[in-house]
Amino acid sequence: MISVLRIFVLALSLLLLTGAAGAAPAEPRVASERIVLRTDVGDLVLALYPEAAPRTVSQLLKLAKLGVFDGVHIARVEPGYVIQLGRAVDRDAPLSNVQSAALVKLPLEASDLRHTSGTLSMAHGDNPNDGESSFFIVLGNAPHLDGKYTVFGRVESGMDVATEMANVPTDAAHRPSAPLTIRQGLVMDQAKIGQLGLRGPIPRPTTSAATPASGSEAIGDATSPTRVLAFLAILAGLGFATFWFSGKLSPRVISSLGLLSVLVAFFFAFTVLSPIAPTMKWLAVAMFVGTVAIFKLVNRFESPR
Amino acid sequence: MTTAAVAVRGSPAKQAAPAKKALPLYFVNAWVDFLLIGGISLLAYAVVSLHPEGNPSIWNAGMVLMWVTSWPHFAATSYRLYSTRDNVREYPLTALFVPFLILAGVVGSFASASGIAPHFVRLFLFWSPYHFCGQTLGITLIYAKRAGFSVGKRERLAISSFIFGTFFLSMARAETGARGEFQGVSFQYFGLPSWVSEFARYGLMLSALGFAFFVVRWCMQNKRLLPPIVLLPALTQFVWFVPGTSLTTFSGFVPMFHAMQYLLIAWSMQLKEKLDRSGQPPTTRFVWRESARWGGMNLALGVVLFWAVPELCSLFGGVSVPLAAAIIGSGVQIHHFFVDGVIWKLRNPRVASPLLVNLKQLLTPAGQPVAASAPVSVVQPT
Repeated sequence: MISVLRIFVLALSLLLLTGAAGAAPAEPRVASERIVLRTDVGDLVLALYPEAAPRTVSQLLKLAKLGVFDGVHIARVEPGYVIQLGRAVDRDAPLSNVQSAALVKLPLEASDLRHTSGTLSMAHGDNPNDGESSFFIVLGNAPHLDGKYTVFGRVESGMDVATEMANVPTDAAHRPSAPLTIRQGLVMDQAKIGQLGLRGPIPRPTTSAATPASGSEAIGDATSPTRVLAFLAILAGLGFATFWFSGKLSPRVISSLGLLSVLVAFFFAFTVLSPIAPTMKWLAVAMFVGTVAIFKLVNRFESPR
Repeated sequence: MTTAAVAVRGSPAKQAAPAKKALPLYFVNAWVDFLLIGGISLLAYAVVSLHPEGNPSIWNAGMVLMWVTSWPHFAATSYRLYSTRDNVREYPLTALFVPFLILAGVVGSFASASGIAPHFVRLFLFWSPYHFCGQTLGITLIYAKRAGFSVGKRERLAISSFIFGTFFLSMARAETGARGEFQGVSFQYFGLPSWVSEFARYGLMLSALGFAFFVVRWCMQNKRLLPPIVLLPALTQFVWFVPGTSLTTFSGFVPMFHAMQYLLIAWSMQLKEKLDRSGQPPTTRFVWRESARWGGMNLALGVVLFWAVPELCSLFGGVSVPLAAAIIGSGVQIHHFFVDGVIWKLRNPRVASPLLVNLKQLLTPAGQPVAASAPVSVVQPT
């Protein structure tokens, strides 16, 4: 009896011990500051573990405050695995002297934190101590990365945005086919995040092509019957007002009413053509020049002729 | 009888032509004008260049500046247009019709936050720096006139090309990108090819050379240096739109610097016109009282337009405050662009004349004797 009891207690103890060993470590303390990444497809809020990775967290906060992440592209997207930021030096706008000076090599700060969905981890090359600014968001369990990369935080809000990112078309090297960019990296106190107006996932085209074949779709959206009717109503109203009051209006006012009609028509064209301009460079240039020309024209509004 | 032919009996003695009155160079004085027109901008740029990461003090200063300069300057425009019936009669479309047209844009933006709002906000963001150029050009022309720098067609072309060239370059660079965002409203850029920015850059360099040529030529012809205040607005504009765009903290302050310029000039105009209308004696007490009244009113109206109205829209419209602020702010500012375009036409003498006075002149009571010219000697007939 006693033997069975001992065996039972021993077995139970072993069970408890292995369970404890296999359990995920308790979540480390989260910093009060958050890094908010405002991207093309929505906003991500990153919670940081300053005790688990003090140097990495300190450095990333510094880089975010300096605007180093502004304009950084997403360099790698592998659904179910990772989304990785590109290097800051590869962004379109060159780094300023201060920003460049702030980029330093970060040593590996390994811990027992696991690479699971939502984990933030520092990327590095062959040398584990050459991490700099590029980090990745883990999208699924990746235990083979544990202990080899610095886990420094987790995605606190915006995993749906990360999911949307993971769905973008990519090439064979897992690079997004169309640029996917961090517009702005902010550091904010956790208590003030609510004031920011965080954006949820903004759907991206899922067809793979550098020039999406959705021009007609974009035009279709912009020329919805309601919108077309609204613009036509305004134009008709302007035309009617010009006609009805022409006897009482000065030539200056009549010409300005005509100018207003041009402005309304231009704005309609602006809403229709802007979404497709990036797909046609000549249209983009024409829209740009045309917009400036409209502003120049408006200078003549209610001016003596 | 003297043979010297001086004055012939019976003919009126000729009076010496009065000396041409020199225009005062500054609205107030060198320090105030320099600081408000561009000195503070340039100092801020220098400071932020050293501390680009910003800090809470800088952000707090920005909020204060927004409340006391940026918002009131929009209100000052509306006040200027609507404060007199003459202006409303002279610009009926701007005063009475355009607000409803813009209201249609605002309503459409609220009704279609993803369809219309991004384009409405984007129109404002594109127009805003263009509008800055118009103000910079106007201020440059005012100081040029005050300094005696005669601006002909070619000079005006060179100055305009440089000033608007900064706008063209900064917008071409921005529009090369994919997406932008303003107070939570995301929009798409045109996606310009990179050669447009290169073209704009070379154009700006050429126009800078042209501008410099006319300045140097004037200095050589007049054998003196052109007062720096004439060049300050254009230089400030260049810093705002070219090197300043790479400093996020500094860029955020640019609208406030623009507002400071505007407020100096609008305040000066307000004092002059109020004096002329009221017939009050020009005293320091009058300046303080009128400035406080005008400033306080614009401050209050600015708070209403940019804080109270968006808050109410958010409360009753069920939209977020940032979205409401972006749409309402865009509407107010588009109206401001229209109004500024009509009420500040320098070719209108009613506008140009008060813009050439100085605070000291305003405070000189009318009727104070002007220094008499030396009389012509009349030889009495013997």
